[in-house]
Amino acid sequence: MQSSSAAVGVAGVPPRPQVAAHFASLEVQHHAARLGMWLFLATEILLFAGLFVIYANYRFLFPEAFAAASRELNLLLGTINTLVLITSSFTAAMAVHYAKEAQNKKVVVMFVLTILMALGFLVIKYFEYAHKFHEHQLPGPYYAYPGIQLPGVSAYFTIYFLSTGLHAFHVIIGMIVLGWVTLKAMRNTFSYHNYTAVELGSMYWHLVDLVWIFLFPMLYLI
Amino acid sequence: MSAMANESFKEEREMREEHHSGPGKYILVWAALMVLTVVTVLTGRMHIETGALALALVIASVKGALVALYFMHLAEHQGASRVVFATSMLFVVLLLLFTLFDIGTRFRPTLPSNSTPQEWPVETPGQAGRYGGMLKAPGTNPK
Repeated sequence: MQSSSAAVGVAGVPPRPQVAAHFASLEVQHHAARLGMWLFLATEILLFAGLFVIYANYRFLFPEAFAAASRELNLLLGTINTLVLITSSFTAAMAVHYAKEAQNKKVVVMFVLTILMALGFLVIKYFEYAHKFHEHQLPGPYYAYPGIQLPGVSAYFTIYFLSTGLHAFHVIIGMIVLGWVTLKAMRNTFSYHNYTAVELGSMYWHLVDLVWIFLFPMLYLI
Repeated sequence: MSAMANESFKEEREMREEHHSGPGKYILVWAALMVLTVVTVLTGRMHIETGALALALVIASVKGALVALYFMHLAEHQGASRVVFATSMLFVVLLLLFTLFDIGTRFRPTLPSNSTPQEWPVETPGQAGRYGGMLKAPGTNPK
């Protein structure tokens, strides 16, 4: 429904989206979409919470191993990645602001910046992973790093790869979602009456940022 | 139907007024997040003896709250969205706390044998159950 209305408004004023028959108004429809997104994000939060619980319990059981292993991570790269992700979250928030003002070109610019920073995040993450593979600081039975031989140290790297891997997977999905919204913005779709896709897409991106805000001190700063 | 339409007009007007969180606020939040990141790295590297974990968690929670409230607009959107977010956070905390209570108060031999659990929150030395792991107090008549 939205895409057909988007096709009409290629030039000139962005179109008003159609209201589905079961909604009283556009605003109610928008509220319902936002609430649905929050429900989805709640399940995402609880998905990551499982990993946080595993982390908390194993860190409680093996405090020395976790402290020693976390010092093997590259704190500089981790900090840069945190700053990159926070800045990308900022540009995603700015995209919502411009979408409300129907400045679709600026929405495109902001989302392209966001996606570029997401790409930068993944590239930095790749260098971190490559170094871990090189040093054999790997999960479970694949751990073969002679520098730290403490009980529980392989559990740290299992959790490290699971949580950062799942997070990186979310980064990739977020890039795809934001790319799709960017294509819609290129067709001059968004205005004050219709910015649901921009808002929900950027909410997903903020969740990716939110998860990393907790992962970073957990993994890098013990 | 007309009542519905009226309501939606009213809602739309209200939303127009409350909706405008401009770029100024976003820049402030972004700056605060950057500063807090640097702060958490610096305090994390100082290796504070007590409360380092609590400090890191507080800073992360403040950052998370800033993102949720301003970037994700929870500060402007009242009602159901807030309830959903608050409920999910509540259950994350419950999940964390109760598994930690379990691990933290277990009889020592039920934990992995090579583990070295911290003494906080509960001390769990070997054979430390009630009456030294025995079922009855010493000196009780064993009937």
